[in-house]
Amino acid sequence: MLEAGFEALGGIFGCPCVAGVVPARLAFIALGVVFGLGLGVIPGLGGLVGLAIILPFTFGMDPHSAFGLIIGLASVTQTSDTIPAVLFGVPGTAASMATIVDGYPMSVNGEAGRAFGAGFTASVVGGLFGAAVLGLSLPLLRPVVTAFAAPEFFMLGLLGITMVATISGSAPVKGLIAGGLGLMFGMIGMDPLTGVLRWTGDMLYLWDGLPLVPVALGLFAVPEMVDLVIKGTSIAERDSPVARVMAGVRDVGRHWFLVLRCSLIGTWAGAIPGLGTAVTDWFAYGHARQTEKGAGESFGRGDVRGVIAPESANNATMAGALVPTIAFGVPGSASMALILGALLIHGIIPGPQMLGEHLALTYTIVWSVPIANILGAGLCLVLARSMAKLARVRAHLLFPTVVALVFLAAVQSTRSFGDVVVLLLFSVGGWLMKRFRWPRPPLLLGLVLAPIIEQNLSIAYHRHGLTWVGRPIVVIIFLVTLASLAYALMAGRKRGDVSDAASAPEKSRE
Amino acid sequence: MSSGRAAAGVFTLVILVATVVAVVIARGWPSQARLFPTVVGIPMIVLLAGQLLADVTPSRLGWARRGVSAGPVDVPVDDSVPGSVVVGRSLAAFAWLLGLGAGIALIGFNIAIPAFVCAYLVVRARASLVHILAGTGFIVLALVVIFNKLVSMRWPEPLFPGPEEAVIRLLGG
Repeated sequence: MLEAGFEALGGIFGCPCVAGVVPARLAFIALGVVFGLGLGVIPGLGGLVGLAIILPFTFGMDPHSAFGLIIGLASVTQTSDTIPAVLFGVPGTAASMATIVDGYPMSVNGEAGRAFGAGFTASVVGGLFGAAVLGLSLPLLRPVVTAFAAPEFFMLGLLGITMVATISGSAPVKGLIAGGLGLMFGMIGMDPLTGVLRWTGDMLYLWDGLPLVPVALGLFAVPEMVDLVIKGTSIAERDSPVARVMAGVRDVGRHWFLVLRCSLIGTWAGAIPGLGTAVTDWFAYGHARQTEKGAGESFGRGDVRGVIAPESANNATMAGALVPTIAFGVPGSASMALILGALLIHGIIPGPQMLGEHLALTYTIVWSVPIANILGAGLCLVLARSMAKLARVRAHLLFPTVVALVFLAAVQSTRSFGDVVVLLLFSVGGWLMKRFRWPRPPLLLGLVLAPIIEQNLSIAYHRHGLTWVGRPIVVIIFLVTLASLAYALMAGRKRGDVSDAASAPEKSRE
Repeated sequence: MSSGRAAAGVFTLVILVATVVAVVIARGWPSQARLFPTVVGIPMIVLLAGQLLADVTPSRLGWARRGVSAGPVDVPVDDSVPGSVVVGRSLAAFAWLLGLGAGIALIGFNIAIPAFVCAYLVVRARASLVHILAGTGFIVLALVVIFNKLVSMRWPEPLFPGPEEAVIRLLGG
């Protein structure tokens, strides 16, 4: 196996060469990286659109070059999606929503460069970690991945709900209500178990439920742009010197253990089909908030760890997601389904063959992930300082362009006018939530988790009765959930005691 | 009661009423379909009632005080702009957004989006000619190259499709 791994690496860096200089396979990886970076920056496009566009072009290519191009693109969209998230508070893809919570305040504080440095470096480390796990564990992960069924997914959804308490900060009641609202929004549409149309108001648009992209853009992107024009100045009052970019890179080194933990979360969550990067990001963010010192007070105000955590997780997720796709032919997301389609088009059946007859191709895919991550992050770091300057552009110059891109992104979901209506409604709601100090992340988390929780609970009950409660992985996840909830409540109580103590002298003066 | 607290109370009341209506509607569904909405909705109504009370009364309860004065985990609000100015500027911003939405509904994305960018830069931003051309040009380029040529976007049909079809044909779409 080791021999095959090195052979694949040699194939990437060896000839045939383009123009006699650049190795052809490496050139295709680089092309995929450039294309993927461009797509990640534009909200609403992302990896799925890019894969759909380039897939037909790969039909006539040799499989190694084709998958270099495909993996190069898919690996880096979650690197460049940090750019609009940090600069404008606009999620480039679903994987960068958690990055906004601390990334955008860093931009406002004139630390966009530092956020970029930390985000891109954390992304490449997460991608490398995920690739290492992918390469080493392919033969070993089958029993683990196949052990996850509906009961385990339901428990993972419950674990996600406890994150609501964590990311509600010191507004737990409002956070729980927002999370409940998100769950209810997630139930809109046709109930897959009974076929009942829930809260659709006879509108065909709502039969498939509320699409995530216009909701997320409305909740986060538009309110930030509106607040920017209310303020009337630029996003940042001061420039972000290049030294700040390097400070962000050093931050990743200083918080290496956080990066490792979140990369592990991302890899494992990616390996479980169906969980998705939107949930993984919040898991990583919530975990960082629970475990990092002082996070209770500083997260949400421009703490670099709030950028490092989700960024290391989301790139690792991509590598983890390749495990079930390549090893078992089980795609965990629409993007992975396209990659599976590409394998089938090239006459390659995922499964044991990938570790036998097609081992060289498997290792080309494995090596493409870290190479693409290094190229992508390197390019983004070089451009970081220039991009950070956008934070100094006057609000009224930025507003129409960013809003136009947000509207164009929103309509990508269902290509219907309903996306615009949803965007406008959630823009108003999101702005009011922000103004009245209601946390918005729990609403988004509830929206994403609702189908996971409801459907898997029903399947678990109908398939296993009540015996699913005693499954080993279910018990483990339940204990982790309890621990997470207890920690969040104790930490919230401690913060309340601290704020009570701080306000006591003021009260006595009254 | 201060106007801020009243506004917060109204916001909570709207959510409470909407939740109650949603749960009442759910009662008409088969039991399996209404189980999850009811399990989530009823505790929410209780929490919302408590939050409404906290919003409209000067409560000394710790949990309510924290919800009002302490910040949630979210992008912080900049309170440096006076309240009356916030109301005026936010209404203006949302009016522009509603206008863009209406334009999209009437004449389609390919005309409404560049028109919005150009109009905002001219009227609201009072930008220089260079900025107007740069901003509008960038959006037109994005529309043509990325969304029409590359993605082959199938645009939702506006109320008056003729002008947009002509523009798309002109741009080689």
